[in-house]
Amino acid sequence: MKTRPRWLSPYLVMGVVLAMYALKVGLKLWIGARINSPTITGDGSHNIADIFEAVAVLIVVIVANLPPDERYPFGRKGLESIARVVIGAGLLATALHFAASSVMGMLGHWPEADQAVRSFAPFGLPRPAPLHMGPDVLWWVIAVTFGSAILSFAVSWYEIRAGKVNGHASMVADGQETRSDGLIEATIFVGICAEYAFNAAWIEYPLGMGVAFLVARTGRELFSEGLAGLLQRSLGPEVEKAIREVCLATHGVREVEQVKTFRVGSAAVCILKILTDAPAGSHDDVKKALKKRLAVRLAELGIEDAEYHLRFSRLPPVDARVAYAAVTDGRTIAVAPDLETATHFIVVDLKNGGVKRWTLEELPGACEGRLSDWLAAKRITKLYVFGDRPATMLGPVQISGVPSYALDTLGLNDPPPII
Amino acid sequence: MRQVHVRYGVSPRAQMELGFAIDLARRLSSHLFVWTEEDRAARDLLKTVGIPEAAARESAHVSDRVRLRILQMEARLTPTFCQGDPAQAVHDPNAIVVGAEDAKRRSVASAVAAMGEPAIGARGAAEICLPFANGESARHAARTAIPLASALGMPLLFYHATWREEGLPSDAPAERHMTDEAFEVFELLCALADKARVRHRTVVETASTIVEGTVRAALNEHCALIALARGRHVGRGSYVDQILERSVIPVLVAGRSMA
Repeated sequence: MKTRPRWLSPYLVMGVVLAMYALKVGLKLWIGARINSPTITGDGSHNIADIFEAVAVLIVVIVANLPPDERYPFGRKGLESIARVVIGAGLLATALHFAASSVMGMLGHWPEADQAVRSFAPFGLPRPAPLHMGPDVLWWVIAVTFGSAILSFAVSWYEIRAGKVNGHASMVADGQETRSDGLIEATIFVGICAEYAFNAAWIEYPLGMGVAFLVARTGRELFSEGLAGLLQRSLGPEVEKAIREVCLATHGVREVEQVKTFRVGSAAVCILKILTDAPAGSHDDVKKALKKRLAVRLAELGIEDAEYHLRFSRLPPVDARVAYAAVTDGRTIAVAPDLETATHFIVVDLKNGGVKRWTLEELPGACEGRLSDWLAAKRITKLYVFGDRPATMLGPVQISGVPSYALDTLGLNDPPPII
Repeated sequence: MRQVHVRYGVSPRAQMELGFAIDLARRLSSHLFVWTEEDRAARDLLKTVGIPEAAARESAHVSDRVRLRILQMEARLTPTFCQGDPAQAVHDPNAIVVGAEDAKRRSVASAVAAMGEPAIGARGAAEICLPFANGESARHAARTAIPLASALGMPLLFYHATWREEGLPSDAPAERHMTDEAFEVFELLCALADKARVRHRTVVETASTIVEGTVRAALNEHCALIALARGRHVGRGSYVDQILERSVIPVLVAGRSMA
């Protein structure tokens, strides 16, 4: 069995994430208070919330790792979807706040416009504060803001990688959230540098708008994916079409009657109902090949972790009863060219077009003139005679031609020993 | 030019085999022979009831239907119609008889069991699986399979299922478990394929049973055909019969003459 590297252990990763946030909170709150920067202080407070989020993700990972049992046949990975929804909603809120801050920061350069907006919405609009920064703290500020951004990007990569390898969607989501933090921190760093060096704090605001957009996009994706997992939304028509194509390209599969797909956490679940006419002994072979080939195809579509539930059913039997007009001399049987020549009927039970059972029956003498009634009473739907002739109707029974008079050619093997 | 033979029948399976044979004959640019049962007793019986030309009428009707099918498949073939049992009557070692029942017999010509498939490679599969062990049967199968692969433009997959050799590390590659005799057969097969300029690759594994391993490998690797030959000294329990029972992929059984 393939073992995963220890450095990608989810518990180690979450330990690193918690340590990173603890460090960032301490440094940001200290430096933010020192230079009177509400941006850095606010970001530090935001990181306190991130610590709680990381603890929550750790709990989700522990619970999601519990194996499936009778009560939870698909495991508890659905919990990861809840974590995704919560993190996604949090990111959307963060993006909204960051966008509002950036807009108000830009408006601060046009006091009339700022006043007008605030008169419409007097509450809730952030008010950017002036920066009090001197050379004594400059390098600390640069180290904290720039270092935080670099640390966020590095830890985000680590967390997303570990989340994907271990199949924990909540870790991937938390990693994406950390990457968004990194973008925000990078913007704060640029803004502070611009304000200090060129007295051009406005640069921070358009950058902030761009970052808010990126954060909102990530938040929306996480929220939507989490919701899809919670509501067991299908993997989509493209994936289901690919699944059908793989199934139909596999020998032994005649039809794909049903495809149901959804996600449980990061794992995809595919429930398939396959119609087959393969011998029962080969069902397991077909099933194993299908699982292997589906795994390859879904991996191409970006779905690495999937669980397959395949149910095989036989094609529904199509039963019919037909008859051949026959002539016999007591030793040999041949299909008669017309009803006048016939002395007997071969009554055949068909299953999916193949002969299941056949009997030779004497032409009923008592039902002279009422042949169609006799055939209908026998539940015969078609009557065949030797020759090429257009189909005609005899009461409810259709009379058609067959190209051969020989029973073997018609699949009527093993005639009875006594005719 | 290779001949393709098929029995005419009205059952869905017989019609499927007819379509399979037409497609094979078209792709091999070969001649198609369609066989009907020769029931002399039935023909004589129909004579006694006033139909002296029953055989000729049957021949015309079958011919019309086969030609119509060829036309529908746009195959541009001119079939030849024969009466009798192709498994006994065909003595051309390069001929192929399409029919599940014929594949179960030791006939001179090779036989293909279509397994309900309308054509070789109808599901997009591209390779011909040629299982080999340390015996002669793979060499016999190769005499049919390699020219067929060459004519159809399909690569070959050499498959070998081997027993585990005690004493080797558990993570040793499956190739190291192969016997010297199996290696000799493998090298010969590679040489034959190279000579015919047929692309090939090999899968070797330590499968639990030969039959299961072969069928699963052919399915997993998406093969279009499994090519086999019967061992001359095998009595009951032939791998060929077991694979014919189990496979869902068309199976080609090399003719007796190839041995």
